[in-house]
Amino acid sequence: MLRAPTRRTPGRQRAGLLRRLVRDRVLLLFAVPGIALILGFQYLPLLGNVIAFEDFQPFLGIRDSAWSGLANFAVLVNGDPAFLRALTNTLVLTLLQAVFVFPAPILLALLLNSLFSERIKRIAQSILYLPHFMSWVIVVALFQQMLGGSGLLNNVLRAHNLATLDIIGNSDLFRVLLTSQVIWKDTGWATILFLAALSTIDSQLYEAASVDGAGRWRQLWHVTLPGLRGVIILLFILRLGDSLTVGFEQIILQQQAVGRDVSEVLDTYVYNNGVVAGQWGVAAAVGLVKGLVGVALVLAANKVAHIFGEEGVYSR
Amino acid sequence: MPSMPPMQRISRRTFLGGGLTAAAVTVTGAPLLTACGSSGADTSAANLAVTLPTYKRYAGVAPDLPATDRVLAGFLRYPAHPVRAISEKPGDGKPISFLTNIPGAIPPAAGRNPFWQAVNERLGSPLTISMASNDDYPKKFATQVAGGDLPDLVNIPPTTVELPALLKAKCHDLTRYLSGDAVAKYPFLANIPTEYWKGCVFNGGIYGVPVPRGMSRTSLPLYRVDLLAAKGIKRPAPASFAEFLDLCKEVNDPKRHRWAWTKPPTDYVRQMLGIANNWAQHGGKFTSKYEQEANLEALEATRRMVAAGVVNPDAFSADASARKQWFNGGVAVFDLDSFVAWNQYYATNTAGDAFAVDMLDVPGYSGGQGKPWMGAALNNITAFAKSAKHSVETMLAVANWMAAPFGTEEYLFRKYGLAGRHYTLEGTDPVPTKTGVVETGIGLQYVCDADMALYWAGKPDVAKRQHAIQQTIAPRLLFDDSYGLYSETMSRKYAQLSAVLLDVENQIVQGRRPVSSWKDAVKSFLSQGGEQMRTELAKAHADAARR
Repeated sequence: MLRAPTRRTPGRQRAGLLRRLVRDRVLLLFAVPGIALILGFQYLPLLGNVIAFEDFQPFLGIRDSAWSGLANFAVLVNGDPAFLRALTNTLVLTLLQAVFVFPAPILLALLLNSLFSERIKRIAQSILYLPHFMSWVIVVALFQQMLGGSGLLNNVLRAHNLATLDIIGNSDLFRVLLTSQVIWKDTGWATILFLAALSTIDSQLYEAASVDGAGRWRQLWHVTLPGLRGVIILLFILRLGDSLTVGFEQIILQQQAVGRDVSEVLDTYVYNNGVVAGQWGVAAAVGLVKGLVGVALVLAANKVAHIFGEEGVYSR
Repeated sequence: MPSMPPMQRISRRTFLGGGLTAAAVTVTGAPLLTACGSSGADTSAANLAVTLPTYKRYAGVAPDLPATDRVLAGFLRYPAHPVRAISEKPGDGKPISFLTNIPGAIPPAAGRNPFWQAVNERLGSPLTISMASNDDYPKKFATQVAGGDLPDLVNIPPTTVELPALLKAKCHDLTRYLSGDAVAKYPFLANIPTEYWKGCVFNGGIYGVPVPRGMSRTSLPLYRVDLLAAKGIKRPAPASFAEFLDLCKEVNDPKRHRWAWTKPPTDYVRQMLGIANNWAQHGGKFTSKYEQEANLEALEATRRMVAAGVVNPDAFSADASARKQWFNGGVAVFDLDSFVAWNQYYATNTAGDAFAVDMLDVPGYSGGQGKPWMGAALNNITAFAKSAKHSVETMLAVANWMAAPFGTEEYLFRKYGLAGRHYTLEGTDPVPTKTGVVETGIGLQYVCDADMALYWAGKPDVAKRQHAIQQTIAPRLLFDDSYGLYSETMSRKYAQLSAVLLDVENQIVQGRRPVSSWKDAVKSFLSQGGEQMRTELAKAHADAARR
């Protein structure tokens, strides 16, 4: 996704399409497998969304299931409490993640960058990356073993006649728990991009700033952050695209205890009603609309980025 | 005329905002076509017209503890000279695929599993089995169906959404092979009581073979006799909920990492209060277990149990296999489960020789006697996929082999495996080895099965205790009156709606929702399909009564 800004060479623009194709044939050949993969595994399955307009029965298949027009979409507008609950929870979690999860790797990258010892930096980085490679099942089980009602923490408290803490399975703390888990698992990994961007900032800028009498904070504000701005905006836009995806696996693994009131999000709604309860059409309709909203958000955010003179995800 | 499911009412819609308003208008403007499923009215009559397989009891061995129409037969020793009842290999040489749940640990694959290899050899067809844990099976099954990837033999949970339509589209109608006296060709299928076949009738035909459970699936509190004895409690018999709660408190010991319960026993408290077993029918009118007023009392009582700390605090996050480990490992003393689980606990016992299990009876909530629920008649039905490259006769012969009852040599092999490796003979009793328990757990019992026999190799006490509690509860059993009756709405929506109610129940007993919120949940259950189910069940019941 990351790429250097495209340079517009007028000559290239004017060259005939055929000539350009011939000229770039080797490069194009290299691109073929990638394009085939994307078409086969990303675009072709999109056609399956047609089940959103059917009373889909998997054993009858797409062709033999009855057509139901827009009936499946009624749930989006008829005030169905289960859907509204899923929508609200999704939006709340999206907001929480935008506020707490998104900036975390930026802060961590700045912190790591300020470490002088390369050795300590390396070690810290490696340790911080590790949780990213654990699956959610493991992460959830780890939290459970540590903080659960009969987990390590509470066992110690109990052994010392102290009051136990109700953390896992507590619906009041569920959002906090989810957010903390995401931060614990993925912050280290997400710093990679920011560290890379930090390393591209010209050190002469820092030298010039310090000659001008800027302290560390002013350097951060006037040199480091502006240097990161492009990457931050790019990642933020990409994040917006799946902002309604707030962690399906993580939530479904913990849903039973905390209940659907706080934990049902659009993705679990689709799963619980589609795969588990067999209402495939309705589930697909909700999933489809969710996808469309994601696309709209990316386009809108990119537009805003352009208005403010940023590169965005793609340029016009 | 096909019945039409109720159309979504758009009139009381609330708009989410400008962006969706346009969509809403389009929705109202569009013709709402609904699916024409299998036809409700005709189906119920057609199902009743099916002649069920004629029951012909297999004259096997005489039990030590006699069976009744409810109580299962008990055996103290395995019969000395098990008869080999089937001489021919049922298979046709080609591989037979099977999809199933398994209750225990994942066994070694066929290549490293001598038991599995021996099964293949004796069947005359290699079995390829794909397995999922009990908890995950319905989801695995749904995804497999969605992928259009059905094996030859399919273990289908009775709660499957749109089951009749699924069977009609994908599976063989077995009526002409099994109806009436035709079943006599498969003597061990004929040995399955008629009651169980009722659950295999769909679309006016027999669409599968039953995996019978009934009494063996009746679930009441199982408890660790050895752990209670260590506390000086022998043969506990609480006479009311209050006494029961006291018992729980007495055995509860969180400081030593031990809780009374693996999970909140809400359904046990419901049985104390005489709440219906799923659906109750009185004078042709059906009542759901959820809507009875006494639920409020049951939920309040269970909430008090959770508040008193007698339930493992991780009960709500844990899955069934974790709870089983707690019970085996002494982290919990009570578990609400069945006679099948009782045996399984012995099989996976890690607590040594002292380990012993027994079951509590149900007292009335404030004294007297409670109403135990008869277990669900079927674990599953096994249907034969139309896509299978085997003749129906071959697949029925395999099912027949799997249903050979206790006392036969086939049963001994199926359940216990090979002498020496999987069990050691003590007298005539095949006592399972650790290897035996793991390697034999490949889910054969879910292809087809005989009625369970109460028996545990080398521990005649187990069968005696099981038989005793069955005799105690038998006269008071409440049955699910909806069993064998057809309701289109139930097949479409029951899974979804009951999951919502279970979620509310979980929140209530954890004290996170007021008990009174149950009423609203039930109201929406009834309006979203419950009332419709009631009507359809009443109609199916009336049809049945007319015959």
